[in-house]
Amino acid sequence: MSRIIVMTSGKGGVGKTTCTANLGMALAKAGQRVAVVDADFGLRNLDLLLGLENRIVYTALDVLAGECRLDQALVKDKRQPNLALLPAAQNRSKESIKPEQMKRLIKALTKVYNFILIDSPAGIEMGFRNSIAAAREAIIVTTPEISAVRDADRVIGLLEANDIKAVRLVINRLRPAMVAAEQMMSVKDVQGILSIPLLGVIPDDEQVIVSTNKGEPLVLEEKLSKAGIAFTNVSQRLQGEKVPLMDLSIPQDSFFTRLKRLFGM
Amino acid sequence: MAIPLISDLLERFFGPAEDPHSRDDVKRRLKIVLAHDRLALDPQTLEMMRQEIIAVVSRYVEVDFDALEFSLATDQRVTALTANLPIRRIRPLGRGADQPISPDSEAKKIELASQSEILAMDAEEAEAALRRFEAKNNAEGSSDGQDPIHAPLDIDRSGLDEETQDDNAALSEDDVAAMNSEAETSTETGESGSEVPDMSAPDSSVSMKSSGNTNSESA
Ligand SMILES: Nc1ncnc2c1ncn2[C@@H]1O[C@H](COP(=O)(O)OP(=O)(O)O)[C@@H](O)[C@H]1O
Ligand SMILES: [Mg+2]
Repeated sequence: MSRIIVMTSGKGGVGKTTCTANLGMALAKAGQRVAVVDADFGLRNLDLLLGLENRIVYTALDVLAGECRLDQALVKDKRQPNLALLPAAQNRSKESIKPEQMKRLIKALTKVYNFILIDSPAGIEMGFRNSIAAAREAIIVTTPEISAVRDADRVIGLLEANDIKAVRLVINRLRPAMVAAEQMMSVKDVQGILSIPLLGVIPDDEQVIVSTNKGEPLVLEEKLSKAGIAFTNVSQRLQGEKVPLMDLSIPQDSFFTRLKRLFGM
Repeated sequence: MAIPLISDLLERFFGPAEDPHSRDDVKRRLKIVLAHDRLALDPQTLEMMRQEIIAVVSRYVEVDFDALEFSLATDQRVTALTANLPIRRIRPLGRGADQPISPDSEAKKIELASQSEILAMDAEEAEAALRRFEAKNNAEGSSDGQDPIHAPLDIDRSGLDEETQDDNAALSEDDVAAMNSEAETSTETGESGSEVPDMSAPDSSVSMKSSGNTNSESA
């Protein structure tokens, strides 16, 4: 049976799309057949993060309108043939599609793909309801900031109310140095407060932006960055492997590293 | 390389000298706000519950109104209401309960009374003015045995009372806000007027503010 997983957060800009692109790619790399679905109608971005924006011909709306077949709308990744993107319409609003229609699309995808990742828009309105309509699992993406955690909590409640029981947490953009300085909530703080199982922690990493610029998910790099390793770990845990949490703690500054920093070296 | 300032150097060496406890602050704030979010109880209902709890407890014991605390806490996605009601002493048998301090209802009482109260006060003032006028007349002119005490003006209050009750039924948040300001003005009028009973409640205004904070946090 296919796994249908919605990536959601409540708050915008916390890394849902980044996570969807990287997890999708990592799962495909591991041999899974993966469809990533952009449910952010009107503000699509998943195509950009995957570098597939120039290959979109049809969107999910065209499929629903009967203007093309589902396989015509799917954009297959050339680097990783196990991965396909179902694009959202960019020139339409989130109200242009209904939960029932979303279910029909996803149902059709389950015939071919064994992982379906749905990139949810921010908010808890129509777009959110569409994105959770067909989902059986959810990954809550949050940053260790009060507003993001609050919104995540709200969304967790809504998922429970909608009978989505397998809800797991990814904490994104953690800055270990700030946690060490008691200026940011720790992984334990956030996970303890939200009280759902932890799937992974992604450090704040400049490489994320570099990879977005290139349209190439981090997990495709030859030498993985810290965030790239963290995303790969999350994908392995999703497949049931036991992977210990990455050690993100910063090494205690030695006298010499401080001296080096002092002189800007 | 530009020459760094001394403070810059110090900071680079010892780390930034920012507030070291912001992590604890944010955890505390987050827990409170989540407790309210998760309960999804509107602030008015919460306040009503608070007042009823105090009323029930006050029937049996004397509660220290200045020190009581209500808080919502949440753990493992379960929310608990914690009431901390310091007890001064057990209420002697036969004595009725104190009126619990209930800022909201206090405020509403003031608001609701305001319309009729103002009219009544107007009437009283008119009456007083009339008396003064008569007294003056009596002192100046030759007193021809007129009754110095004028019969009170006859004001039918029953209609007014009904009206205020209707207001009560249709209370919306905006109304409450509007009436709160109204209440303030009527309290002022009351001070210049003669017979407005005990409308100043300094303690209650303090707790009113704290309940207002709760409102804005959970909104
Ligand atoms: N781990 C990270 N480190 C650094 N920047 C990140 C990280 N995750 C996300 N970002 C940046 O945050 C921004 C929002 O990410 P995005 O995935 O579009 O969020 P969402 O889909 O939740 O709105 C992007 O500019 C992205 O590059
Ligand atoms: Mg997005």
